[in-house]
Amino acid sequence: MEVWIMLEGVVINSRQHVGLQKLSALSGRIRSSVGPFKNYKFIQDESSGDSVLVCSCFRIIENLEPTCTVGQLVYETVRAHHQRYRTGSGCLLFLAGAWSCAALDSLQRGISVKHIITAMSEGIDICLDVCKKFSVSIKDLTVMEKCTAAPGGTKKPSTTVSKEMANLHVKCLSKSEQRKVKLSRHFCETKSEMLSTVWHPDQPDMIVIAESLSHGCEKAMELAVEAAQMLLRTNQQRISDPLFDISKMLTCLVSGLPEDCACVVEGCILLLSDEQAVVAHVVKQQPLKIALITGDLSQTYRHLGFKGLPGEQCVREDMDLSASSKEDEWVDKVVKLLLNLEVKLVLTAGLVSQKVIQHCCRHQILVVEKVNSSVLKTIGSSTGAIPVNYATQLTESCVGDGVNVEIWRDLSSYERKSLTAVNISTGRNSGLVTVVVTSCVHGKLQALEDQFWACAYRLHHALKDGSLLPGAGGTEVLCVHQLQKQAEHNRVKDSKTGSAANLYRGLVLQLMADGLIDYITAVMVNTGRFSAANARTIVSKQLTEFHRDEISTGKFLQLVSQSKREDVGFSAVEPDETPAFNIYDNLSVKQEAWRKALDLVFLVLQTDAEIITGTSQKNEGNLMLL
Amino acid sequence: MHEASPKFLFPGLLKPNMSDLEVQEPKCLNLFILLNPLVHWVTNKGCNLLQTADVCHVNIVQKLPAAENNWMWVSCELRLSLDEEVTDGLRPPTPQTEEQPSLPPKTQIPRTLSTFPYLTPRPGSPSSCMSRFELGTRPKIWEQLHPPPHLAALCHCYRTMSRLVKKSPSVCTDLPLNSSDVCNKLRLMKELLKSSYGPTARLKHVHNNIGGAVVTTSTSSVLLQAISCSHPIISLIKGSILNHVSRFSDCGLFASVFCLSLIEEAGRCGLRKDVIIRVYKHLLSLCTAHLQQEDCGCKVKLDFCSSQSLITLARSVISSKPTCVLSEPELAHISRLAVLAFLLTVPCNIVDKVRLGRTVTIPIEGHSVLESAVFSGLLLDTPENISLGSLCSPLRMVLFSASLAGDLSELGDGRIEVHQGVDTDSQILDQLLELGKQVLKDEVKLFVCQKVIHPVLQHYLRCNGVIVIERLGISLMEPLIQLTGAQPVATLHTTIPRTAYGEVHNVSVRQFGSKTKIHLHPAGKTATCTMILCHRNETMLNELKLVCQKAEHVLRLTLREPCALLGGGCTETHLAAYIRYQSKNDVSEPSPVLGCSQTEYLLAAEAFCRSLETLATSLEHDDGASLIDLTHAHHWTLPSDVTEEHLKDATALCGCGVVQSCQNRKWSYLNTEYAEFSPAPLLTAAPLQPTVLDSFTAKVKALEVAVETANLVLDVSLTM
Repeated sequence: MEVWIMLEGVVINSRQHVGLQKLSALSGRIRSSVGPFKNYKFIQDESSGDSVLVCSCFRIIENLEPTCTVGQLVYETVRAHHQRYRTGSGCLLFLAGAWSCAALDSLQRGISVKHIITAMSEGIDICLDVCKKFSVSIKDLTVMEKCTAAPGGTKKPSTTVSKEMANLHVKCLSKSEQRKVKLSRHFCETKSEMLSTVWHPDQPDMIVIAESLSHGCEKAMELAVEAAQMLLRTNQQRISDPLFDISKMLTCLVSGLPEDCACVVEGCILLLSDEQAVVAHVVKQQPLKIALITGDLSQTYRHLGFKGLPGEQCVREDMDLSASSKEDEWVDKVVKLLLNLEVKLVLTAGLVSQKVIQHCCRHQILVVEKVNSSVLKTIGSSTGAIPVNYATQLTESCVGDGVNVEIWRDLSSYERKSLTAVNISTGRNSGLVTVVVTSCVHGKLQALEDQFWACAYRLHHALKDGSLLPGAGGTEVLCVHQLQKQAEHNRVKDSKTGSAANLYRGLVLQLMADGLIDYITAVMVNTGRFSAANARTIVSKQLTEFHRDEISTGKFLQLVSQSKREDVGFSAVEPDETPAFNIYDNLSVKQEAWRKALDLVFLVLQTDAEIITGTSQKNEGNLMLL
Repeated sequence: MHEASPKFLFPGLLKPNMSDLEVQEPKCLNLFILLNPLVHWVTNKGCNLLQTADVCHVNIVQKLPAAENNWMWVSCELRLSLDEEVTDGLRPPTPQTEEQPSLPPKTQIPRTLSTFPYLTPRPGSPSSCMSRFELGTRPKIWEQLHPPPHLAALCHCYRTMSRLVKKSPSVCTDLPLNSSDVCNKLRLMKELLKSSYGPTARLKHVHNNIGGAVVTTSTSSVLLQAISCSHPIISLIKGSILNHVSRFSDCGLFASVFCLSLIEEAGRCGLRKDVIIRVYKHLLSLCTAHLQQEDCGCKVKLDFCSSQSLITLARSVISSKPTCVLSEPELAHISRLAVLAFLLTVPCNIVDKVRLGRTVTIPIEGHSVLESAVFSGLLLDTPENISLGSLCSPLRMVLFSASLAGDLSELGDGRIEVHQGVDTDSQILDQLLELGKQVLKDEVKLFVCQKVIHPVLQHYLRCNGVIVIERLGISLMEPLIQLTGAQPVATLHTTIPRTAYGEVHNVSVRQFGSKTKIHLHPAGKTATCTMILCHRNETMLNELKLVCQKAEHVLRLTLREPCALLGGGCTETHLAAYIRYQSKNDVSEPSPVLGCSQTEYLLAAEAFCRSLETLATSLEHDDGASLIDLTHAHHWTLPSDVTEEHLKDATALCGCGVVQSCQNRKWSYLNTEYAEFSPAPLLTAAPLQPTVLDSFTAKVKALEVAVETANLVLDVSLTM
């Protein structure tokens, strides 16, 4: 699908900045996907009829394959963000759109690009400053949570806002209950059970943090916590440092099992075919020697950068038809080598030719192909095996030992083609943890995997940053408050000095704040419990309260965090089961997303022309040829 | 122009020895020339060429793969053309005197066959047939050109085209600058480049129409390369600006905007083209002479005792590209790094010949700009799991330029016949392992290859404690050779001579985000350094990299001429005021020499000054007004939302930050009339501390290139 089609619904006014309009149109596509409540979307390719089920904002943009210039720029930015953080892409894109609307608005009011940029840079500085000032360190957080969890700690909902909200909740109750039942029948039990088993007196932080960062993906977050704790335990890390090595987490996608079957397993889970499964049954539960191959396991494979001899011709002196083919010779050689080295398990990053698999199976050597190269590295370092490029390179010193293969589960019954999962673990601290993500619907696996990674990365970054931001819109509200205060300040100062530059600055800051309000309301609307108008009223009411009270910063934070729990409730958690924890956001992820969003707006705002290179088939009206 | 009549261009073939210029075939003459020296040289000689031979354009027809050092093979098509009247074939080749009021320049410059002694029409033959004309034996063109011997030798003429295809007559445009289409194109190009000029410029997205990466930029080299032009005049301008940028890095947009507005102003003032050309030339020499003077008011001597002015210079270059999206502290940081990198490349102990070192730039995406850094020595990519055992300093290293992938790629397409049972791959591998053994015996600790190293050899070396780095890439070879003193080994078939080994003092591992780099510390004094540039996204990082390389080049140019020009448009307004003053006061002297009346001279000078002022006004993109103060002739901007009273405010500064406003200062809007005055020098006890500086060398050269290109374009009378 092309962006053209997407943009069709939005009328692009050629008198205004086209790039900014495109940017905001693009971000409008993901409006219903920001925040913890996301709906699945189908993206269909009209030419091929293929369709894909997407959930996260990043996947939407990825599958839309925007071809226009702004679309490309957006995709490049979002992809870079996603690769590093795996979460926050929606926030980035939404704010890019909201702030490009702000820029458009400013342009229409006759504010020059230079002034817009100066004012917006000031605005983002204010926002980042708010983030810095109001971030809560993880240590304080734990203490705070313990206090508020105590019975007397919770405040009674007394404000008018909360009453209003309560009414709203009643209205939506039936709907939300339905959803709840669907999602988590076993969930409540497993949750409490899991929490109790996982609880470790020395690491009180992680669960608290995880709960506050789950953002509606409780299940995925539980998996992430479990995986993280398992990693810490197996790697016997210092307890004072709860930062886990996320590169040692793996996912294994299994379709055909209900979602409840998702679990965390120590070691590396790999799926095997029938043939390999037979071998696995033979070699299981005994220490094995292992070889690691980084290339393909086939006779024709050559390393990257190798150019064969194009003009090589073979000259035979005699006709020896009985001679076996080159490939057979090579396979025999490799198998003999493996047998000599007593290797029983071969993991390759590349592909394995069918002949090699057959031969190896015959000799009870288990060969697994397409293993992640970071897995090879980790297994290598814990078993002493050195990854090599060619099988013929293997020597005694390259072989590791002490690997165990266990049949983890036989999945054959669920699907027609047989499938067996084995767990490859090293007795010592290999440190690998696999998260098995399951779903009956194959199309949903990707979304579930994304959710898990988002949670795992949120946890990872929270521990890395050492602090968190008040979530559920709290930080945004604080920023709006500060921006508006600054805007007001400029306005007041301006009426005294009479300089126009200050007036503009106030205006742009106000528009930026509106962008953030738009974000908060979009998230609230997406929960399905508020209409757009309602959401806006609630936010503005809260803001006026803040303004009126002129609260000191410390108290302000408290107020926000409480109000979050009691009133605003646009958290993912149902209000009737209001948990004893707050909602928090990642500090670095949010800061980075905001800054990248503004960078995008700046780049597009400052652009006044496109240069299209190459021959163009369709000449549009506004094209000028040089 | 008759539709039916074919080209009256006179194409011929030139031979290198120039002695027998003759028409071998009636078609274009193709020259293979080395672009850098020769095109530039031809362009400089352009007027000569045009006046004598009426060469319509130098068209770069074909670019051949670039060789080293920015040298590029191009095939140039020089089309000789005759005048329309002549080529009609109906008139005898006698001087034209007939008045054609609609085309004044044409009648002013007699273009007749008699001025082409080597072109003689064969009487009586049909006018549509090109082979009517023959070239005489005296190659006047080349006589006039006088190519230096080394360039003449490079001219390699060859015959490529067979027969002129008659059915598709080329389109011949008389006086292209009078055509509205060409003028529109030139205006569009000017607007495009003008809007990309300066630190508050508008950016351009460059992409192709089938998708692919989008480049966002306001850099002239990228923009001009992206413009594919349909008209030879535009190609000519583009080519000469790109050539300037490749030599001086800076002032590409300056030169192009100046050149285009010179052409535009020339059209507007309605003078004869030849007069304008001569006056432009004269004024250019006036400008350059003024800029070379010791006491020139817009020149600042650079003080190498303090880094302040160097940092200002670097900062002006870096801040001129808004795609980098740098905040104030980030800008300061990068400017400081640019100067630091430059200083590291200047060798400390100069023996006989100064040889500047190199800065290697490594971009890393996704980090804050403030994490950028400069290291002395080199940083190379390395596989993650590198283990540095105990290494004793200094380390011996070997550098291969040959591929060690285990293939015989240097054989090319040759055919090899091998016996059944002979395994060439394993034989080459054995050879490689032999090499490995020798290297180990010689106690080499660092093994670097420009290309791929066979994994078996890598494994073997690593197991024996050698640090192996493969796929270095051609661009890092030269800096590495400078750093280590190693000689690259180009074959794997001989033993390595001991002299080929180089030395490194030490190695260490540095981590930049997810990237691991190995840091090679130089053994002796070296002038090689590495600049790690970080930015949040790829678009900004690419521009930042370009801009840092530009800053480095600009700083290097200061070594030759240790001065800089006032930036922010002040040099342009100063020059404009100076030229105006000079031309009004000395009008009687130059006009007879230039063969024009005093009014003509003044009109052309006005066009020149206005083009200079256009450059200053082009710096403003937000509807602000540009002003000039009537004492020092500096450039001031007045934002659209403030009144003129604001300028009187004592806090306001001029474009370069040297002059402060005061109550009794007078201003005039640029491009409006003001009484001419001689710009007063700034009398201050302390040396000037401008906040914006421009490269002296680059700007002076840009002025020259712009004027000469404009003159060449103005002289074109016919395009085909």
